[in-house]
Parts: sequence; structure tokens; C-alpha cells
Amino acid sequence: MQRFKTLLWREWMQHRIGWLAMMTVPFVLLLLAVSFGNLHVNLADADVNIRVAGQRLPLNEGLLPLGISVFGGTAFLTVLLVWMGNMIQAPGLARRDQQDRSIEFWLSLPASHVQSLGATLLMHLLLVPAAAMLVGLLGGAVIAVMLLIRVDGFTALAALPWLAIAPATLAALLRALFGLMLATLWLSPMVLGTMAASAWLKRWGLPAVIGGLTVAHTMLKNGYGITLIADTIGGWFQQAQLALVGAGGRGNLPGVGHAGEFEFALRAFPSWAAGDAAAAVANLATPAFALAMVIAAAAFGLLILRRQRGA
Amino acid sequence: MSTAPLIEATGLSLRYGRKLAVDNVSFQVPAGRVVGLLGHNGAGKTSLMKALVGLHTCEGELRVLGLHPRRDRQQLLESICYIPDVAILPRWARVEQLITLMSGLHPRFSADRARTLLRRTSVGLEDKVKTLSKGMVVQVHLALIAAIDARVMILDEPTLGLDVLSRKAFYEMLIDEWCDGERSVLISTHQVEEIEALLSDVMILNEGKLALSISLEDIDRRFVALSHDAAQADAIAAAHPLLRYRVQGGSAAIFDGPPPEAVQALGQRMRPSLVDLFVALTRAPDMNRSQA
Repeated sequence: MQRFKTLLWREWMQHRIGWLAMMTVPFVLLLLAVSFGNLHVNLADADVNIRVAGQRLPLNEGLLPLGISVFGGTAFLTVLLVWMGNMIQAPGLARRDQQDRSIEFWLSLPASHVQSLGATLLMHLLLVPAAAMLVGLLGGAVIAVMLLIRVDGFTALAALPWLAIAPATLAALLRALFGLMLATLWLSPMVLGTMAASAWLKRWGLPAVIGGLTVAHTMLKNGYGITLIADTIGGWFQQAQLALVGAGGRGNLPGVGHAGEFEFALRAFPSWAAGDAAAAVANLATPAFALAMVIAAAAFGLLILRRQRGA
Repeated sequence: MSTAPLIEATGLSLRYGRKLAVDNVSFQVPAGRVVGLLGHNGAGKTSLMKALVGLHTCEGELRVLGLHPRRDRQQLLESICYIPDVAILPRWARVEQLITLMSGLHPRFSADRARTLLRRTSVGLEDKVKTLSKGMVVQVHLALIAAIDARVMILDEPTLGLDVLSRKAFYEMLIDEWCDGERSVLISTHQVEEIEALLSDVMILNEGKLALSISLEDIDRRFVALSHDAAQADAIAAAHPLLRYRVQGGSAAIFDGPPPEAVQALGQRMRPSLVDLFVALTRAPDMNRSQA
């Protein structure tokens, strides 16, 4: 375990500057906007309103949705930036140590290939995005509080239903972390597949995967009317999205047409999130997920084999 | 103390596809030896060393510290240390970070010992690898692996591309700080003259075959070099030496075993250098014949 933790620590040492930059950029930009932006709001003006669930509310009734939106939006933006950034960079990880010529050094140390690759994947695809979520939530809280203070002073904070906000935030965090893990699993065939292709075919790996899938899809579709490839990949993306939120549908979330109802929705959110997570788990018991895991495992095996063969 | 060899290879062959890189070699490395592995480029040295640390599949029997290098690679790497021929430390890391990583990854690594060894170099703990010269990087690498309480060290061209001062510093650190009479070192290099004094044994690979595996004491007993005047060249050549070559002020010839008594009288007996012996055993026969 000590060795695996050290391998995780190695990832942090090597990539921390980029990760910290990606985690803090949304916060810093929003902080500058909220601190120095030209914000003049007259709460008494009935024309100033906020759109919530398709309805326009006077702003003085919509402070809670406004704060929650900014809070959640900042966290979402932060984690999306880091998670997608790491996903996109994942194919390059397969040859990272070969490219900086340090692979022989790492291979000379007594860490197993599974440990080494596992630590890299876990750190890039799950732990760092999870950390980004925490950073985003903290940053979002700061931005939201500053915005509400600018709009309505400290009285806006005192009026917020903190006893509803706190458990809803915790539930949202847990649901998002769980969803992140499931979404990563759904997308793992593509991430690991492109990594394996890069490991074996070097710079031609990614074009080979994209080109191969495109040609195969075109031939199957034009020749036999089969859209299996596109449907499967599209299904994985859709399931990844549902794994993050909405797997159980949105119908059971109470309507939020009024600020009072929004507070009610906040109180109901933890149980809704738990049901949504359960629905996301239920979606794993499908042939599509089994296929995803088989392909991901095969790609992981190819990565191990490439590493066993050295630089 | 066990007298079992630390490294034992029997009928070992290595392939790259259909190409045979190492061909049916057998050797042993006992404890407390410093073994030089010599060979031309492409002779199979790096392949053999990779096989010893489990990075290359092989045919035949190979045991390092009693372990199968490929199957027991992780366990084996806990008891040996290795600097590969393309050794390069991660450029993004600081020296102190490497010590932290080694501490977590290698159970026999001593961070204090590494810091002590590094204090004897001009490298600082906060220095980034990418700011160091090649010689400094190699010294850091040696300090890191010399801080591992291992029984075997495998060094594949560790001083390639270094200037003479860096090479000297490297070998001094290796002998002074790591070799203790119980540990063994297997080192491949082209700078044969520089390491000859450090070696206890030598193995010479020629086109994948083991041309010689012998201790330096036995070299003195087995091989004889005769320096002679040019006038004696034909008589010396008639005795079929392994190699004839020029030395300052005349010529010399190396014989495998004592030369005929009549020939011995034609020249002055001297100790053959490792370089000359290496050339004698690995040079193509047609080139050898054309040598004056």
C-alpha cells in the first residue's frame, strides 16, 4: 500500500502545477468578476428578475437559487475542466515516461506494472477530479457568498436556509463523487483503448482508433445498415452523463417555481440524490456496461503487456 | 554465509523476434566480485542485462539471487539495483523528490545514506534534474541506487558520454561507497582501460556468444603477451598468436597459453592488457590475419 501511495504521490509531484492551475482558474476568474465587475442591482426594481425552472422570479425572491446556481456552477465548471482535461490527455500518459526517457528508471524500481499503471489512472481519472470538485465547492461557496453580499448585503446571508443548504450540499458532493466514478467506468473503454493504441502505435495510436472506428462504422452502416458501433459508443456517453446526474429521471424532484419551493426542493434533494445514485448503479447491470468493462480490461492488459516489454 | 552464486545462467539465449541477441551462454557471478561485461555494440550486453532484471524474456536457465528474473521481477528488484544504458532520471523532479519517491518505492533504500552520498557531490537536494549536467545526473542516479542495501548492482554503460572527471568520480563512489566484499557488481562499458583496475572478473561477449568468462588472476595465468622486434614478426606469426599488434618501440603478440619455448626466447614476456585481449577475442579473424 505504501508503494501504491508513493506512486500516487509521484503523479501529484509531476502534474500538480497543471492541475492546480486548472482547478483555480474558474475560481480566480469568477472572483475577479464578482469583486471588480460592474454590478448594480436594485432589488426593489420589479424588472430585475432571475429565471428559475423556466419561470421568472423577482430577484429578492431568487437570491437562494442565485446563490445555489453560482455555488454549484463554479464547482461544476471546475470539475468539468479538470476531468475533461485529464480524459483528453490520457492517451498521452501511455507514453509519457518513454517520451521523457525516464521509463528505464521507473522500470528499475520494485513496483509492479499493475501498481504503476493503476496509480496513474486512478490519480488522473478519479482522485484529481474529485479534489477539483472539493476545490470547486469551496471556491463556489466563496463566490456565491460574495455575490449575495454585493447584491443584498450581509442580510442576504442571514436569510439563507443554511439547515437546508448544508445537507443538500453534502448530498450533492457525494452524488457527484459517486457519479464521477461511474461515469469514468462508462468511458473507460475509450480512455484505456486510446491509451493502449498510443502505447503500441505511438503517435498513430489515436488516429488509428478514430479512423478505424469511423471506417468500420461507415462500412457496417452503408453495407448492412448496422449502426452498432455508433450506438454502443453513443450509449456509453449517454450512460456516463446519466451516471453523473439524472439516472433516475428528474420527475421526482419537486418543482422549483417559487423560492419557497426551491427551499423545499433543497430539503428533498438528499433523498432524491440517493435514489438517483441507486438508479445509476442499476444501469450497470446491462450488456452495454459488461461490454465496456471487457474492452477496458483488454486495453489495460495491452498497456501492461507494453510496459512489460520495456521502453 | 551462503557460497551460492548471486547470478547463475545456464544455456541462456535471448531473441528479438527471429534475431538471436545472446546465444547459449553460461556463467556464474559469485558474491564479492566486480565483473566487467565487455562487447562491441550489438554484442548482446544490454539484452543480457535486461534479462537479468526481468525486462527481457529468455530461454534457458537464469537465476539471480535464486529468483527467476521475469517471474519474480518485483521481489528481485528489491534486492538488486540497476542503472540502464539509457539511464535518465525524470527531468521534472527535484533531487529531494527523488529521494522521497525512492523511500516509498524501495524497501531497502536509505534516504539518509542517499543524502550523505549526495553531499559529496556538487548537486543540491533542491536542484531539478533538468538543470543538472549529464555527469551530475549520473552521480545522482548512482547516489540513489548506492543507497539501496542490495546484493547485486547492474550497471549498463553508466558513464557513457561523461567526461573523464565525471567518470572517475562515478567509479570512486561505486568502489568506496558500495562495494564491500560481499556485494557484486556487473558493469558493462566501452572504457575498458579505465575500469580494468576495478575488476575482479571479466566476461567478453562477441556477437551474442560468450567468448571469455574469467577472473583477472586467471587472465595473467592463461594469456601471455610477448613484445618483440619487427625482425621476429614472421617467427612469432608462425606460432599462431591470438593477436599481433603494435606497441611503442616494436610489436607484440598475445597467446592463449604459453607460447612455444622457441618463440618465448624471441621476445619479452609481459602482461596482456584487457583491451588487447578484448580485441584479440572479438576481432574478426580476417582482420586479425591482415594485422602486421
